Amino acid sequence: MTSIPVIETSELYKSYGRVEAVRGVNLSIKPHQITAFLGLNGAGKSTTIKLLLGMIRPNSGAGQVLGKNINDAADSVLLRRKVAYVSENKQLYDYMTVEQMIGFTKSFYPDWRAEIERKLLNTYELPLDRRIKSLSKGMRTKLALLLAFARRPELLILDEPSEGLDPIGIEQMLENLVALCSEGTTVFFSSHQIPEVERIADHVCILHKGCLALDASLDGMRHSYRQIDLVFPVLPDESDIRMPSVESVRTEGRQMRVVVSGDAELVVERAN
Amino acid sequence: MRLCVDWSYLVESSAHARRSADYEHRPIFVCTGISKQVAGIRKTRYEDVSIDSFCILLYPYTSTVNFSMLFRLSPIAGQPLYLQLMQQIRHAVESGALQHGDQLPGIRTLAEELVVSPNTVVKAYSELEHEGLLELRQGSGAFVSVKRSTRSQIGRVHEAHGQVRKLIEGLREMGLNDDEIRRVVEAELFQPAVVMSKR
Repeated sequence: MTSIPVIETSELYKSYGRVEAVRGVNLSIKPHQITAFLGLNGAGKSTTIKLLLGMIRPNSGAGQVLGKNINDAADSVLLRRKVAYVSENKQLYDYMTVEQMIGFTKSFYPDWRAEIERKLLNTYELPLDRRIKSLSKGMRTKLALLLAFARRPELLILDEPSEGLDPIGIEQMLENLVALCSEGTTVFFSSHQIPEVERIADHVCILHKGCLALDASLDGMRHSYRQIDLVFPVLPDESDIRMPSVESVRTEGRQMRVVVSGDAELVVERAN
Repeated sequence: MRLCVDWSYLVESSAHARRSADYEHRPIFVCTGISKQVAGIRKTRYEDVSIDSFCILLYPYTSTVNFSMLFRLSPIAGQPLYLQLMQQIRHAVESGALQHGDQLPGIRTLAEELVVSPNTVVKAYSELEHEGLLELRQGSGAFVSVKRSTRSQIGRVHEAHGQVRKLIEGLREMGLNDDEIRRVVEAELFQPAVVMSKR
């Protein structure tokens, strides 16, 4: 397995007027993995994704996606052939029918996978003759996902893919993501749904106020952080529990919820 | 925690487990928790049920075991998913649900069944290969390989299985329900910890 990063940025910076959306982000995304991109609303996730795709230009900083420069117009065209992107607002042509939209998209990609198209049409239950204008939000999302999945992309970038999907739709989408990843596609998706991230992601990047706050493997995080609930007959002082490895303490009644990095047993011993 | 469960599927599988248990000497594999398939994503009849209210008996009557029912990963358990999968494969071997030479599903298949990243399955498989419990054959998948030393351990687990079954039957005859039995067993298992925290 090669480990040349699929996405690599250095000090990526973008501001809209006085608003600094992205403030010096350094990403390094490994191939053949599923990476989740988290952050509060307005943290700069969508801006970062648009920068990666060359849809907007950074004020400063540089980045490469699949070895192509994100600032270069010619590179950007080459890049779009290899990267599939499902945007936040699922842009599609409203006046087309589902069938026309699929036919139209297909014509751009010689590598189109008819078997995936058929399979997804079937699982997503998309009505071929309906106009896109009249599709529900979830249906639009499913169609946008189908168009991205059937392209055999090297890199798949999804901006909040599960938004507007029903639970069954989410389950199907996650299954499809996993399947695509096992065929070698690198997946980079933004999300607010922690449960889905916890299930399928290998790696997590958290953006906070335009800066990368965390960049870690999910297994590593599960190893190094523990949440312990302690119940006391008489609640001790918070300072008694404070240790270097204690990240946060929250008390409620006689119960104390402690987040620990490192050795959880030491804290339990102290609590005793 | 509430989940959708397809009763028709559930009843069928446990009935099958009971039926087959009588006619061969292989152990019953008790699978607590609900697999994705039982959770009825694709099935037609749904009903709400509490996850604690039952466990599923799964009997490995052929070599084609339904793996998504054998293994159940919990993302909120605070333990890496690959470790959970490793433990469950190990447990399935110890309890006899998986036997020497049995083939495990391919990486892609299992990842899709469990809806986890394929890298999770890869990691679990390769760690277990390192331990000697699995044999990975290029292109044909993963096979269970049980060494002689592990076999005696498996024997002990079988023995324990039988004793526990008898004990539970006895307790049921005394009129205890399953919840009470579970509490008694857990209290006994966690006794040292309880004493410690009381101090």
